[in-house]
Amino acid sequence: MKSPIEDQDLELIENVLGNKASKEELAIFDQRMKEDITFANRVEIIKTLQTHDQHDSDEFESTLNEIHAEINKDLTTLNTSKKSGIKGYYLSIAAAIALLIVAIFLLKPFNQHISTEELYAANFSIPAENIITRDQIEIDSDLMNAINAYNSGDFKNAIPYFDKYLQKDSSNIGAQFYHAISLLADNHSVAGIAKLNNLLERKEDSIYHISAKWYLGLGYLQSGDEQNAKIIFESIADSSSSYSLKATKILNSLRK
Amino acid sequence: MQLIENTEDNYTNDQIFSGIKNKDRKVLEFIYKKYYPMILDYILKNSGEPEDAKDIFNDALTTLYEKSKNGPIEIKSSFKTYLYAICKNLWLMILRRRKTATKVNEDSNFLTQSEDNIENDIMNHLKYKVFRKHFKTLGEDCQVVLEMFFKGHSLREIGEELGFTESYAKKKKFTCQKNLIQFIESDELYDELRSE
Repeated sequence: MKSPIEDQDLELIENVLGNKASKEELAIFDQRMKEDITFANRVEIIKTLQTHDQHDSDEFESTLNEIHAEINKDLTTLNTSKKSGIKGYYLSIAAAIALLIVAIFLLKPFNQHISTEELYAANFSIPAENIITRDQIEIDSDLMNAINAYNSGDFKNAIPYFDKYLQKDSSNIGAQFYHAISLLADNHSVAGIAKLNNLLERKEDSIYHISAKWYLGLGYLQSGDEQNAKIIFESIADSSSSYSLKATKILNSLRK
Repeated sequence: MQLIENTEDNYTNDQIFSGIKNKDRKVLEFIYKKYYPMILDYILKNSGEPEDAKDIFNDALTTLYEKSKNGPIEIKSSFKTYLYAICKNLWLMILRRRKTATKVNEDSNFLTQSEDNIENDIMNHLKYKVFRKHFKTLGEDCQVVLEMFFKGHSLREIGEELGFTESYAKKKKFTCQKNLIQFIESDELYDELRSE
């Protein structure tokens, strides 16, 4: 049973760590550190929190997650292209359409204004699904159906399954993200934008944060809302994320 | 200065550690591309999943990031060996926690090194991770009070920021600290880390 935490203990720790302790306080502190392991551990907790910048570590981890997502996407794309069947079929069609759109986009005369819809089509690609389910003993059947439909490129069917699942567990950020992507992919830009805005309003940083911002910008392009798209892409372009160069290119196209 | 073995890029250990310390994306991407496949392979061969590999790799790099803030990191081996040793130690700890009865494949090329107190660095990182996790579960006002307090702001400044009197700010600060400490002390992982 641990001893209760007393205000005077906290004050003593604070004075010692802040070099404001009297000789008597220092003597008491040294004595407690030697004899009271719980007290010593509490000192360690406070000292660690005082000397570390939490946002800094969060930011570092967030960068690592972004890099991992990029590398994982490359690996998944590589693996997916080797697979046959319906998923491969959908992806081949999507790739052909994307190539066609990019070709049309590139063949436009220099300096000709490019519409927001064209910019959306040239930049929108389906991110590889990466929902973390490993800690769950049994994966929810609606989530499983949503993931399967998403992975098959069947976004129309993925949407209601994500809806149903998120009504039961709204805390799964991955499910929220892929739900929003499914909505954009199925041309429900207003609903997709709302979901992405909800996701970005969450305080905690998630591995989906920067991607959500990128797709929110694309959602605005899809809906023809050039003003909001610019705001989003400007903030991405100013960041050090992997999307910043692509965001700058979109901004340049919008300014023409 | 020691060059990284088997690479075409001329990053020295010092440049890598400096890149980690400064959150240099180019260096971090290099580390990820160069060494993540090796760790993924190791974890998959030793009862792990791809998601475990990601967690272990990120934890190892964050351990180094946090360590780099305390001063320059000096190692005798290559960065590859050092990173591998950290990842391996982290993974062995996870397997012990999961009580997985698995024989871990030993790779004779990578001996777990005891240089530079790797286990201590890992412990410090994991403990801090627990602290951060519980800090985020505090109410918003508590997070602001403690953050300002830890950054050295006076109680008067904290009070002004949140519209409290100085004496209420002091009371609030104690309450928040107590809650945070209680959360941390009741954490199973923290308990295990303390007794390691």
